[in-house]
Amino acid sequence: MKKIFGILFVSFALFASCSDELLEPFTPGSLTEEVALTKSSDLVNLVNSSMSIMTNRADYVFSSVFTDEAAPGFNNGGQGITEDYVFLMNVDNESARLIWQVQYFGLARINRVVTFADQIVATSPADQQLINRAKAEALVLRALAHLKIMSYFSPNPKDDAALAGVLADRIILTTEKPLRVSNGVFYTAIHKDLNDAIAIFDANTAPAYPGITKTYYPSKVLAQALKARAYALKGDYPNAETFANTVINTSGITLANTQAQYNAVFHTHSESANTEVIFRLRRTVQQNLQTGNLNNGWVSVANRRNGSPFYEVSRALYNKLASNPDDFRLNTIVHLTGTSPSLIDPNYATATDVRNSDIIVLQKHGGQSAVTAANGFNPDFMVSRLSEMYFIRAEARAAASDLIGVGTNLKAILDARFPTAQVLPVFASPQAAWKGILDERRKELAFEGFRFIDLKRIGTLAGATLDRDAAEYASGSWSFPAANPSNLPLTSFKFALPIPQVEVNGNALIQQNSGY
Amino acid sequence: MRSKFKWIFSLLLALSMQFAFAQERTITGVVSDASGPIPGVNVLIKGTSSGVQTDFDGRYAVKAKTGDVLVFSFVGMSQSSKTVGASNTINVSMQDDAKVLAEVVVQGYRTVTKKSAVVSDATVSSKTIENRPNANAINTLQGQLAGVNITASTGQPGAKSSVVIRGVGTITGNSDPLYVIDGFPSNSDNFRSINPNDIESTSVLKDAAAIAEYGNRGSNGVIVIKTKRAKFGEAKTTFRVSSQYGVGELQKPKYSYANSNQLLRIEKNFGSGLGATLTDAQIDAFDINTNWVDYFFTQSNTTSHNISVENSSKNMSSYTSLGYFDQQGILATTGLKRFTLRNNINGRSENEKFKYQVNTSFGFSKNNEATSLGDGAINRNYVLGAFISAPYVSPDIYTGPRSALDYYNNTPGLLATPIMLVDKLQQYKNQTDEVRIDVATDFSYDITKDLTVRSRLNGQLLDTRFFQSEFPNSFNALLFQAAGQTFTGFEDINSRREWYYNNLWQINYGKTLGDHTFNVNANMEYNHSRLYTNNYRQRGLIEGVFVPNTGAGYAADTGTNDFYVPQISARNVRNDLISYFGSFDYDFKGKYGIVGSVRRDGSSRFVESKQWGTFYSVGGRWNIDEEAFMDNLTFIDVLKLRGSYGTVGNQRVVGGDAFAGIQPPRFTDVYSIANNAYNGGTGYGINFGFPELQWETTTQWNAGLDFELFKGRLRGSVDYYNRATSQLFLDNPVTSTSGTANLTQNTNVTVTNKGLELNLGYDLIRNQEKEITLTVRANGSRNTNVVSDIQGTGQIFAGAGLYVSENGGSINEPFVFHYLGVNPVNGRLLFEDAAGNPTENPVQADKRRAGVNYLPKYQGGFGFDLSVKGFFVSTLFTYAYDVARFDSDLANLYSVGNIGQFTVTDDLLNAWTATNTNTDVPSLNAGNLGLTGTSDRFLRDASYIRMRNVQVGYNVPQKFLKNTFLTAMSFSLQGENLLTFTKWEGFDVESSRTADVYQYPTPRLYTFGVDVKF
Repeated sequence: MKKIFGILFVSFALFASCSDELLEPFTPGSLTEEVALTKSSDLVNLVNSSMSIMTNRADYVFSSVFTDEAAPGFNNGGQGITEDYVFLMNVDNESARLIWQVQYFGLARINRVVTFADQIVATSPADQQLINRAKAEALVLRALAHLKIMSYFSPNPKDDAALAGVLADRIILTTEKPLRVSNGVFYTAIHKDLNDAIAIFDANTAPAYPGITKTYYPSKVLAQALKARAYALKGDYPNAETFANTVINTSGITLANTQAQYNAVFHTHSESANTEVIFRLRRTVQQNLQTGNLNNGWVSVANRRNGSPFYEVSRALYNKLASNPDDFRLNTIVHLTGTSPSLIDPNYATATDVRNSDIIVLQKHGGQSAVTAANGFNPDFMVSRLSEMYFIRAEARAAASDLIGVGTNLKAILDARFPTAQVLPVFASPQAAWKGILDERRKELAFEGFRFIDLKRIGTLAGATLDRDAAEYASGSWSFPAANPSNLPLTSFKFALPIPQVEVNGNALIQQNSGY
Repeated sequence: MRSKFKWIFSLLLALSMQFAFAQERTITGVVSDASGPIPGVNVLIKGTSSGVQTDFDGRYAVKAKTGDVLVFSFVGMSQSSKTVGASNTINVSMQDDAKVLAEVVVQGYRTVTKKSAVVSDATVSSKTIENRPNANAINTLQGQLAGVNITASTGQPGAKSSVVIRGVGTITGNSDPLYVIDGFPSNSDNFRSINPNDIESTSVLKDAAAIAEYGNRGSNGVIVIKTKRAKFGEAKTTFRVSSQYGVGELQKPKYSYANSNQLLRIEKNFGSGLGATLTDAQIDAFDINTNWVDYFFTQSNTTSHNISVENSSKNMSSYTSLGYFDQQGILATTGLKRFTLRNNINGRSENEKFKYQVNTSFGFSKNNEATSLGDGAINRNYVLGAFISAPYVSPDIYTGPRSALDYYNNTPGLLATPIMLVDKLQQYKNQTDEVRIDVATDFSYDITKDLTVRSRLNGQLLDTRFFQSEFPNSFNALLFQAAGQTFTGFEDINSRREWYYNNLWQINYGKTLGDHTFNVNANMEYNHSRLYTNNYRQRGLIEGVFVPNTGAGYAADTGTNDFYVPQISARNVRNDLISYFGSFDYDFKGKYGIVGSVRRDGSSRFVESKQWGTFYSVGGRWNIDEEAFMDNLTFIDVLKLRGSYGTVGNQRVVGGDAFAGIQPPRFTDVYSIANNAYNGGTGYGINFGFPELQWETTTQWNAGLDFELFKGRLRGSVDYYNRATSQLFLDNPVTSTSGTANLTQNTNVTVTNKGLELNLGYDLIRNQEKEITLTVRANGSRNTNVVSDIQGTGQIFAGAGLYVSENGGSINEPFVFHYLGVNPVNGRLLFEDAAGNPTENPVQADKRRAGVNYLPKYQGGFGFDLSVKGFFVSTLFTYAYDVARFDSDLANLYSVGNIGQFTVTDDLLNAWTATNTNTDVPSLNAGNLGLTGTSDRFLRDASYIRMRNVQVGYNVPQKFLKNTFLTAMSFSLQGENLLTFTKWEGFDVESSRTADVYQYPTPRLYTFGVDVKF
C-alpha cells in the first residue's frame, strides 16, 4: 500500500515537471520566418518557389480554348466544352481563379524576397551581389505578375483610370482586405520595378548564368522586353518602340531562322545560345507531373493522336498555317509526321464524323519528346521571345500609320520562319495593317498565352472577330451552337475576367468587373 | 479434417455424460412469483454446469444429491439459492430484481447506476452487435442510438464509417467522436482489426456532464466500448462457438441506363461516336450489350468463425476469444480478411482491496481496398468503369495489356475506359496488412473503505504495411512509358506505425453519511500519440521476375536516365496532451443528485499560453418517482428529470485523421524546403499560420427525462440539447493576395446544434405462458444546425463556391442557381433569377442556398423483436429525413460530353429538339448546359427508410439439448439492407458526402449463422 502511494507521488512530481517539455510542439523541418530568411541562399529559395508557382499553364490553356487557337479534341472527356469553349464565364470559372491566384501566390513570395533582401546582412561583397540579383529578379517577376493581372482583369488596360487588380508591392497580411487600384497605379508600379531591376542588373557582378541557362532567369533584357510589352498594352507606342528597339538592338539575341532551330526552341529547348528566347520558365524532368506539365493542358498522355488529345489545334488556325506548307511554324505546332500523327481530312467541311476523321494534334510544347511519366521530359513555359519585340515595333508603326514600317517588321519575322526570303507584306489601310499584325501574331505566338490579350488589345483596331471554323463547333459530330464566335464579340464584358469568387469570399468589398 | 472434428465432438459428449452419471435422486418443484408460476427459469446445481429449465407450469425436475445448492435464475428476477436437504420437493418464490432495472450507465470514467446518473446515455449491448455481418463494429450500431448518425458511406469491407453525434459542430474542423475502448481513450478511429463479437456493450456519451472527463477530445461526443469479460464466482468454464456464412450483392439503382441500341441511336442523333457512323439498320442489328455494372460488381462471400472461452474462479477470471473473418467486397478485387485474438483478465486480491484488469487484443487484417473511388480516373477507378462504360464495348476485346493499348489507340475518345480497367483487374494489386495490438489495464487499490487509488496504463500499436503494384508492361505502364524506358510499372510500399499511449492516475473518495452520499476524485492524465511513416516507390519493374510485395524484379538506376530512381519519404508526427481534472458527486436520499467537474487541458498542437484551456461541467437530477406524492401513481416505475451544462475543448484543428494539422503547425507562418522547385534548385514552401490558434470550445446544455411505466413495459427517455461551438476552427477564406486562399484559424463564427432525442421501447406482448414476447422499439432525433456570427457578408463558402455556410442557415448548404426546367423555345436551361423570373443567363446574385444540406435533420431507427417459443424475428429499420446531396452519377448520365465515349441515360433520346419541344431534358447543344454544375438540377432528396437488418432464427429448446454437452444452440438467417424506400435514384442512398460520384455502394447481405454454447 505504501509503495503504491510512493509511486503515485513520484508520478505526480514527474507530471508537474515534465508537462511543459511534453507539450513542446514537435514540428521538425518547419522553419519560422526568423530562421528561414537569414542568408542569400534563402532568398534564392524564395525566388525559385515564386517561379515554380508562376510556372502554371492555366493562362496558356485558357487563352487557346476561350479564343480560336484550340478546338475540342477527339479524346475530350468533357474538359472545358461546357465552360471555356462555349464562353461560359462567371465568378466560378476555374481559369479565372487560377490566373488570379497563381499571380498573387507568386507575388506573396516575391514580396518577401524584396523585403528581406534589404534586411539580410551579406557575408561578403560577393554575397551582397547574390542578394541584389535575387532582388532584381524578384522585381522583374513582380512586374510580370502585375502585368498579367492587369491584362486579364482590367476592363480596359489602355485607360489609366480603369481598375486593374490589387497592387501587391509589399507583403499583404492574411488579415487585410485590399481593394483594386487603377491601371495608372499599376503601370507606375510596373515601370518602377522594372527600372529598379535594370539599375540593379547594371551594377550587378554576380557570376553570370552560363549559356542557355540565362533564359531561365529574369534578366535585364527581360525587364526591357516587359517594359515594351507594358507600354504596348497601355497603347503608349513611342515608348513601346523604344524598348523594343533596345531589346532587338542590344540584347544580342536573334530570331531562330531554321526549322531545326525553331523546333529546338519549343520541342527540345536545345537551341543555340542567344537564339529567340528572352525568358522561359524552366521545367526539369523531376517536375514531370500530369497536372503541371504544359503540354498536358491539351493532351492527357503525349503530343500524339494516341496520346489522348482532349484539345487539338483548331481547324481555322491550321488552315492559316497550312496555307504555306513551308512555314516552320506549321511543323512546329502541328504533329504531322512520325508516330501516331495528325489525321488531316481534306473534306473536313462536309465529313460526317469530323471529330474522328480530322484530328490535328498540337505538338508545339515539347514535340514528340514530351511524355507524361516520372522523370520524363516535359516542356518549358515560354514567357518572352524576340519575335514579340518585332511585333511591338510593327504595332508602333501601325499606330503611327507607317504601313510600310509594319510590313518591314513583319517581314523580319517571316524571313526567319521560311526557308526563303518572303515578299514584303503590303497593307491598304491602318486597319488592314493591324489585322495583318494580329493574324501573324496568331501564328507566331500560338498557344503561348497571347491570343486572348491580343484580341482584347488590338482586335477592334484590326476589325477582327474570333475565327473558328464551323466544323469545330457546328458540324455533324460537334454540335456546340454556343461556341459560335458570334457569341463572343470583342466588345463582350468577358474580356475582363471576373474577380474569382474565392477572392470575394475572403475580401467581400473588392470591386467586381461589370457583367458578373 | 472432417474425421478429426468428429472426434473432438464425441470426446466432449463423453465429458457431459460424466456429469449426468453423478446424480443421486430427482428433486422437483414449482417456481413462481407474485403473479404465478414462471416458465423458463434456469435451475442450476451450483459449481456444475448441470441444469434444467422450468416448464410452462413452472415445474422442474433435476437430479441432485443432498448438500447440493440449486440456483434459480431468471431475467428480471433476483437470483435465489436453495440447498438440497431431505425433501425431494423444493418450491421457490422469486422476487423482481430492483437492480436489474437499475442498469449501469457510463458517466465519464465511472459507471453509476442508471438511477443515479445525471447524464444522457444510450447503450447497445452485445446482443445486437454479435454476429452481424459487418466488418466494422461501428457500422452495426447504426439506427440503434438516438442522436448518433452513423453512415457506412462505402461498401469497402472494413472501411471507417462516418459518425456524427448531435450534429456537426464545425465547418471545416474535425467532427469525429472519441472512441474509448476498455477505458482507453484512443485517437484511433479504425476498427477493421477489431472483432465486433468481443464487444460487450457500446455506450454513447453525449451531454456535457457525461463527456466532461474526456473533455480534451470529447467535444464531438464519446463512444465507449467495453469488451467482454468473465465474472468472478464459482470455478466454471464455458465455451461458445459461432459461425456464419453469407453472400452479398449490389443494391441496384433506379437509373434508366441506355442499352447498346439506344446509346448508338443517341450518338447518331448527336453525331458523335460509333453510332454516328452506323445506319439505322446496323444499329438495330447491333448485338453486343455488356452490363458493366455486373462485370465489376459481383456476388461476394462472407465467412466468419468465432470461438470464445470464459473461465471464472473466485478471484480470477478470463475471457479469451479467437476470431476469423473473411469478407469479399462486391466490387472486384476488394475484401478484408481478419484474424483476432483477445484475452481479458480480471483479478483481485483475497481481501478484494486490490483489483486489476488487463485486456489484451491482437488483430491482424489483410485489406484489399478499391483505389481512386470518387475520382474520374478512367484507368484507375473500377466504379467509374462500372457506372458509365459504354454497353456496346465487349470485355472480350481484352486479350492482354497490349490489346488494351491497341484498343485505346484505335477507338475514339475515352471509349476504351472499361478495357483499361479490365487490364487493371489483372495487372494491379494492392493490400494493407495491419497488425493491431491493444493493451488496456486498470489497477485499483482501496486504501480504506472510502479511499481508492487507481491507475490506468494503456497502449495501442497499429502497424500497417501497404503495397500497391502496377505491373510491368500493364496497360498503364505501357501508356506512360517514356522513350528509352525499358522497365515499366511501379510498386509502392508504405509502412506506417501509430502508437498511442495513455496514463491515468486517480484518487477517489466516496462516503455516505446518513442520507448524504459524496464522491470526490482527482485525476491526471497523459496522452501521447505518435505516427511514423516510411514510404517508397520503386519505378521500373522487370517483367518475369517481379513478384508483388517482395522486392523481386526491381530495376536499378542507370547512368543513362533517371527513370528508375526510387522515391522515398518519411514522417514522424507527435501529439501530446496533459490533463488535470476533478469531479464531485453528491446524492441526497437517492432523490436528488448533483455532479460537477472542472478540468485543465494542455495540448502540443498550440504554443505558449494558448496551450492550456479550462473547461467545466455541472449536472443534476431529480428522481421524481422517489417522492412521496408519486406513491399513488403506481403505473410509474421510474421517472427521473436530469439536466447538465458545461464546456469541452477540441484541439483537432482540421478534419482528417488524428495526426492531421500537426505538421506543418498552424500557429505560425512556416517555411519548409521544397525540392526541385526551379531548375533543379530548392525552394521554400510557405504555410501560413494563425498565431492566436487555441482550443475550440463547445458549450452544451441538456435536459432529459427517463421513464419506465407499467412495470417496465414502456421505457424510454427524452432529451433536449443545445450545443454551440465557439472559437470555431475554420479554414477561413482570406484574400488570395496574401499568398493563400484559406487560413486555418479560430473565428467568432458559432455553429449551434439543437435538437430532441427520443428513445422508446414497449413490450407489446409479454406472455410467458405461451412463450410469446413482442417488443417494439424506436429512437429518433431531430437536429437543427445553425450558423451565426459570420462577419462581413455573413457567408463562408467552400468547394469553390458550391457550398455556403450562411448566418441563419446550416453548414455547407449547396449554393446554387435554382433550376426551373427547359425553355421550350430553344431547349436551353431555365433558372430562377433573384426576382423570381426565369432566366437563361443567371448571374452570381441569382444563387441562393438550398435550405438543406448533406446532414439529415431527422434520423434514427426502429424495429421489433418477436419471439415465439424458440423462434425469433427481429428487425431494424433506419431512416434519415430532410437531407439532400448532389447525385453526380445521375448528372453524368445526362452529360452531353459523355456521348460517344461513355453510356448515358436513355432519357437523352427525349432531349429537346425543334420538333420535340415539350420535354424536361434540355437540348444536347444548349449553350448554358455548363451551369448545371452550379445549379440544383441534380441536387436530390436523400431521405430514406431502410430495412437495415432483419433476423429470423431459432433457439433450440433446452429439452432437446438436455442429453448433449450443449447448453444453448441457435440458428439464424439474416439480411442486411434488404429493402430501401427512397426517392434517391442512385446506387446507395446512404452516404455522408455532399455529392456522390463513382462511389462504392454498400452491399445487400444475406447470412446464415450457427451459435453454440457449452
